[in-house]
Amino acid sequence: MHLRKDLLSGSIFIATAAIFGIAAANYNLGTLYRVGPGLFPLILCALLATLGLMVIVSGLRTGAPTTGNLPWRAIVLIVASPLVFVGCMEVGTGLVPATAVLAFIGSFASRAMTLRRAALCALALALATWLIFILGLGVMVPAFGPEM
Amino acid sequence: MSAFSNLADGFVVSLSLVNVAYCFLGVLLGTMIGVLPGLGPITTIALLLPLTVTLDPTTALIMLAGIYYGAQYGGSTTSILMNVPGESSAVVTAIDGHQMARQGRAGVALAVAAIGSFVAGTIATFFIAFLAPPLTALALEFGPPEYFSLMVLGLVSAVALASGSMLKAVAMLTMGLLLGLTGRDIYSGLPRFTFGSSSLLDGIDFVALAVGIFGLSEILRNLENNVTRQVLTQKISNLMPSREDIRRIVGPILRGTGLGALLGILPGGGAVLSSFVSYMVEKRVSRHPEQFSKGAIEGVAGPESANNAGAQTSFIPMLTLGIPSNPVMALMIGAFIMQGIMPGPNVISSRPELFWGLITSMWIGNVLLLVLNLPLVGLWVRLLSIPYNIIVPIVLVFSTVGVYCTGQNAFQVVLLALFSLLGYLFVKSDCEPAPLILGFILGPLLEEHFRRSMIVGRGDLTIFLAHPLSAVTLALAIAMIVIASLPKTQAKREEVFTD
Repeated sequence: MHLRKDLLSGSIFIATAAIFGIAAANYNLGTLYRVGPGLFPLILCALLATLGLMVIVSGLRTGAPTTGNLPWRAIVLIVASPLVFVGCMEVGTGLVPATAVLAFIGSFASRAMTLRRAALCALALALATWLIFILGLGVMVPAFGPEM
Repeated sequence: MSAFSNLADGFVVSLSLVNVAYCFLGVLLGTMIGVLPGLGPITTIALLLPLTVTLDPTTALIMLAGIYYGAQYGGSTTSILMNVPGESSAVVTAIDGHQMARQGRAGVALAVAAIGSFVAGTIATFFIAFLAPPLTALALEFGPPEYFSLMVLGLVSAVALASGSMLKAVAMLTMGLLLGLTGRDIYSGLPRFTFGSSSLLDGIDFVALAVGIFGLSEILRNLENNVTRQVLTQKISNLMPSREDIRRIVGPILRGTGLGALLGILPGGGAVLSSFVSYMVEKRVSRHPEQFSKGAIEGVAGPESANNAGAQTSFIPMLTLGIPSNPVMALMIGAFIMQGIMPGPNVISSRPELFWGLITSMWIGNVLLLVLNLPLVGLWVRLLSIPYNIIVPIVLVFSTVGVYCTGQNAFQVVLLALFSLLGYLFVKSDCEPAPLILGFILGPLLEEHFRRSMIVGRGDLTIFLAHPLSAVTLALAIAMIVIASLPKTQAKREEVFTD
């Protein structure tokens, strides 16, 4: 799937402006003397939406190039694996198993990955995480099992 | 107190065993990760930031500064040996450095880069020590309007100096400012943009944003194509520059240092601008401009000195005013805030041990770089041949676990995933992520100073013009916009950034 560069970035800007703008609409604007929590956000949202529109318009006018082929497999795996990690932590596996799962899944983001290599990576990185974060930095996260 | 006694006090702090050890660790880790292609200083600092959270503030910042110049030097190594600059300030080094490597002079190129960086680092340390106290004294006189205008100038210059479309850079900046406002409003206590989640009351975790936008999205970009990287793996022998080489590099190193030290202070300046300007200057003053881009040693010595000097003096506006002049300094401010310190003119008097300890540690870091890098060149070369499919899970694990452990907040990891996707889509649509991170840090500060100015000025917007310094700063910002949008400058920009 190819995406038009300017349409893509322009839509992200406009979407962000819309999501934040709807929330900011409820905030008190205040007066210039006592500026409320809503004034600055609303100005920024309006500016961002305008800029996003300008990006799209300039893209339509010049027929900007596309992003080319996106590496969907890598995108899905890299974005999903931290979420799986969070899932493991919430379930209560502890840091070491969650890290192993994270590394194992993430390894397959590159095509040239074998099962054996991914398993080795997972083991080594789980060990390294335990050494660095729990032993070295003394982070209060259980290595195995759920939080106390 | 004179600058020298300040420096002496600083060395007492920075030469303590713990601080030297962490400085060393920072320089070592910074170089190790900076050497890996595609991972520049911003990514490296973001990745390693979680490691410093549990340290004492002074030690943490000393280590982070070490990571910064380590990463920068690592980037130069990559560009000399592989012609793949890991970061934009090493782009220039790649031009002549890689040519030297092809002529079998890789060792000399690396040595010259190290020596140039060291000389520049030494001079820049003294420069900071002399310049910081008077600037701080000046900064203490600033009120909210002055700060507001200075930040506007900083943001404008960041946009004007960004590569690529200026429209997109402004949009990225605005998006960053907006994201930065997430969390509880300090004046009214109202939670903003938290969308009902208590995890967002303290705002978006800065580490999650930085690691996602710079770290993971960079990984995705590198996974696009299975490029086979060409490394010059021939044995690197003969590090020593000849007498003739030394004669040729003295001028470029000193000129580079001067340029870098000055350009580093400017908002939007720093390492990248310094190295570009130094290269152009050296090419112009050289008696043999035709040798440039064919392996001229001056083309390595000048820019490498300039980027190191610039990297160091860019700490000045951050330390004295609390205003980041580039994205790396935005990360540093983030680190200060995570340590519970608000960078600004008060740091020098309230935390002198931190201030002078950090400054003197820069010199120690430069000594360590020199000592570390020349003997370890062989190791760095071997790091370059690590297959990319191993680097992917390593960076992924460090990002995710690092973000999880700094906040111990599962939601921030979800944000990390979201930001890595967004960051990648931005890179793919030619939107540079640097202005976003700058905006993110400056967003809340900008708003705060605006609101304070309005209170001081009783709701009168002309307060920004009534204060002379603020008016001058705003005029400079407007001048910058005008110059940057002139068609002639636009053409020049493209020339510089595509060269």
